[in-house]
Amino acid sequence: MVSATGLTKTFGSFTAVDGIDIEVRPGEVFGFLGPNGAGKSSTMRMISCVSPRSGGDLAVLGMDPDRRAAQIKARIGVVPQQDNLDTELTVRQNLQIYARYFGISWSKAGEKADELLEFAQLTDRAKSRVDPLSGGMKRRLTIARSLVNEPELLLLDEPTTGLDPQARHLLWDRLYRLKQEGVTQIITTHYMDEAEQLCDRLVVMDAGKIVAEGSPSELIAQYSTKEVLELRFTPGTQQDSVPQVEALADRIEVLPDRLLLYTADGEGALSAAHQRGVEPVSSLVRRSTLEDVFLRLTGRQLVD
Amino acid sequence: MAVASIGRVVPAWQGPLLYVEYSWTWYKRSWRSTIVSSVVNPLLLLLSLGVGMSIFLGSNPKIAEFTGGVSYLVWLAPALMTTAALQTATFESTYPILANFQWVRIYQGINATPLSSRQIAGGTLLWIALRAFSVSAVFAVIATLLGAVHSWAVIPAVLCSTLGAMAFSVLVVAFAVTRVDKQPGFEVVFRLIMMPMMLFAGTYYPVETLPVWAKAIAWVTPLWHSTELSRGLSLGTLDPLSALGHLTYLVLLIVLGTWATMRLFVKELEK
Ligand SMILES: Nc1ncnc2c1ncn2[C@@H]1O[C@H](COP(=O)(O)OP(=O)(O)OP(=O)(O)O)[C@@H](O)[C@H]1O
Ligand SMILES: [Mg+2]
Repeated sequence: MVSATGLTKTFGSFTAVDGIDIEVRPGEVFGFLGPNGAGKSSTMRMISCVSPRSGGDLAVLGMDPDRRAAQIKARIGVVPQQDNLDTELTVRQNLQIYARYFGISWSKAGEKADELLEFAQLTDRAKSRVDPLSGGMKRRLTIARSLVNEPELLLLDEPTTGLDPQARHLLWDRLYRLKQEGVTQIITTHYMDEAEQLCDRLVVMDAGKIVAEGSPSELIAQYSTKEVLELRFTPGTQQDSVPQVEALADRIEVLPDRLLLYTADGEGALSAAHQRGVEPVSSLVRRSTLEDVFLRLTGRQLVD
Repeated sequence: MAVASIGRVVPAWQGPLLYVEYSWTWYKRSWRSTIVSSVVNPLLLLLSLGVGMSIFLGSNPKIAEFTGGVSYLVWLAPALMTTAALQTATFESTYPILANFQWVRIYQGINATPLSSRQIAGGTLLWIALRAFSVSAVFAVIATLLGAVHSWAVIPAVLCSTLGAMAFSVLVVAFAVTRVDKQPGFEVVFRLIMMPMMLFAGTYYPVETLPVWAKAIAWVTPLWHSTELSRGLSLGTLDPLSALGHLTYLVLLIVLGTWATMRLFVKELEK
């Protein structure tokens, strides 16, 4: 559906996307993770044919965005990071008007609008102006709008940022339904649980480059351990126990109030730590998550 | 392929029309409020000046000298029509354009559809042209009812008025696109360009009475050309050669401004 090699985007002398290779297969949900400024949106914008690439090769639905942007855009759906609804028009008008740009007749556009209102659970707000709607409702409307042309490929740039848990779960359910129908999806997100839930495969981007690639479980297996033991101490005293527990884990991370021990067997490591006289305020054994992978790959410092 | 999209690429000519259809949907909500500033105010000006001046000047022979015998009201009407059209079109070319780029970001939304940046630009200009045309037409109809129009030639005059408004508007739209994410600076356009243009374009008195430097100002303004055309048509005093000159100048500006606008839309939307 999308294939890129050496894809690059520069703004002046600044390189936002630095020669990435990706291959998105039909029917899969593909994720982009990465800290702020990693180049996720820049990549999404090149794929959605609104931003010309600065270098490399890119094919979307088998076509080159430089030459067949309109043909590609006709068959994809785009949820931009920043909503761009018409706040003066009604919810329904936003959908109906948007469908028109895809060559859909006025009456068919109206039917489509009603169907999508149902889909986004906005039917009772159909006639209200967009402006006073809550952020979550606007986001749902933007997502509904991206579906007016029944896209084969859906690009979602941080679709759930700002949504409450109910709305996020509603959206996950909808995206899952679309996946069942065979719609290929590319998603960027800062929520690791979302990526784990939704994505078949994902890449982690950092400073314009891809630093890791695989399915969520593959990434966890490759970059983290099965379990993590968290030992909590009075802030400042955590450092003292490092020598005793060092040998118990594959890798140790020292946080201001905690030690994280990456290990295949958390409970085993915990009892071994107790035996060696380590007395944390509290402890917790948990499964490794994508968040551990993400933080390992992109560091804990803020980049922006 | 498991799914096939129902989206398709509309023919090139239809893109701008879809933008106009959207603008119409948008405009329908609030046309009543705009009608006051764009048509009622100019008509009040026409009445107060046209009638008031006629009474004040009485049968002063100087008036007949430049109006060619018609009343001041009749002489003034086509010029106020072109001014009203230009004013509305100019306003439509400033803050609304900026809003569509940077506040509401309508353009970015449309740009994600099969419509191209050029089609969006074309639709934007077409919509402004329709606004200028409707202001001219409504003004002409009411001026006729008020007895300020005597000839069917007001119909081509309405078109010339639209043309004049667009000749300026395309340049303002192009300027507006360069102001995205910056200080707008439209006050400069309104105060230093539009206002003087409205004063020097021979609206209230003939340009011939002005000193040469002021005449030169009039000659470069699109408004003077469209006013000459509209007035000449309405009063039947237009000679073909100067008509051709005025039209050529206006069309040239429109072509130039449209070209610039399209380029700037592409640059702004396809970063
Ligand atoms: N139009 C532009 N002009 C100049 N620089 C830009 C432009 N758009 C993006 N950038 C820069 O490119 C870099 C990548 O931005 P991008 O929006 O792709 O990041 P992102 O991964 O989506 O970040 P976030 O998670 O914050 O959305 C940033 O440093 C940004 O400042
Ligand atoms: Mg982003």
